[in-house]
Amino acid sequence: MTQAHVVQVKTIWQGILAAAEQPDEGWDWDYKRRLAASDPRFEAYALEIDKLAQGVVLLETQWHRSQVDEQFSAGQAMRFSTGEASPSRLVYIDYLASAPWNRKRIEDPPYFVGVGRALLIFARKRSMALGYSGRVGLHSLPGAEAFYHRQNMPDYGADPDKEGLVYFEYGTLQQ
Amino acid sequence: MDDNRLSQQLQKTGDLMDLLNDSDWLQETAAAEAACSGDVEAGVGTRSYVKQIQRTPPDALKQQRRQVTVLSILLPVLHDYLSDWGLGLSFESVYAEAQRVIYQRLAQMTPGQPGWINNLLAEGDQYLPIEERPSQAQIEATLLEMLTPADWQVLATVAAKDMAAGILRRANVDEATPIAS
Repeated sequence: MTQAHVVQVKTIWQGILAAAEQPDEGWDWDYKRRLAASDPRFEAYALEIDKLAQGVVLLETQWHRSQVDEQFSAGQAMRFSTGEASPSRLVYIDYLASAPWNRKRIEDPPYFVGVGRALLIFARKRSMALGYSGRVGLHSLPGAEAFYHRQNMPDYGADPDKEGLVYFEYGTLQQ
Repeated sequence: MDDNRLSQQLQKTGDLMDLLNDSDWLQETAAAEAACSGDVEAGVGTRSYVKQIQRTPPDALKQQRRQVTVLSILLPVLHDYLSDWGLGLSFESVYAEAQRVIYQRLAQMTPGQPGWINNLLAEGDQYLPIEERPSQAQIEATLLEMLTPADWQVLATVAAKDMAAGILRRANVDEATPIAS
């Protein structure tokens, strides 16, 4: 993610919402970019088409562990109990967002389709590259749960530590 | 997303992102997103952004599609134009500031500019050959017209400041420390 992408999120994405007289609620991508630049655990990326940021993602690559015990029962992964953690690292999607105009409710057809899916695949690519075997975790907003279900991303239920958002996690990707 | 499909892609090209060039995969993506409204947000911190979108009247957002289309035409030209300046370390800052200014100027266009933009969009909608798109050929000149002398001064200041900061960062010198007295 470049400085130009941050300006686009702040001026164009937010500007479009501001033009509709919606207050800016402090969705600070500048902070996230600085975080990614100063802390090696974080990586910020933008998906750019025609020089416009169509989607953004912030990945955390060191702290998070798989919350799923893949050994619990053959073929039936189960979430660890509270306090336990798998030794398996994963790429955690801290933030993932698509530009305001890329959703059917606003544009039908949307300006671009596939932005979320492309960012999700990119996260799995990073997970492979980091030696985490494609494991990726995220907490979905309620309106996006159907999207992650459609991506066959296993759903491990509401997480009380994350305001009740549902936790999804991809396991190991076979090579 | 089917893990078997991803595994096959890895074996085939070694890069999962190559799926974005697969027409079958793209059709499947379009169908999946059509069924899910296009909302893909993840992370507690995106709540405020999604709330903002949800509270914005759809008609107000639809009106902005035109603006996004215009920017998707103007920004690549702006980027290429500034790339020719040889700005080096300060390119990113200057480009970021220039696009911010252009976005502002689109909201305060001079009398002839709305008509030019209408023509520019019409040329794109008709898929005319590039040699039959006179408005397209005027993009660079119009971008330059949009910038006021004060805007140019701002861009020059950003370039100078960012170049200085970049040099000091590379030399590992505290920016607050004077280089020479």
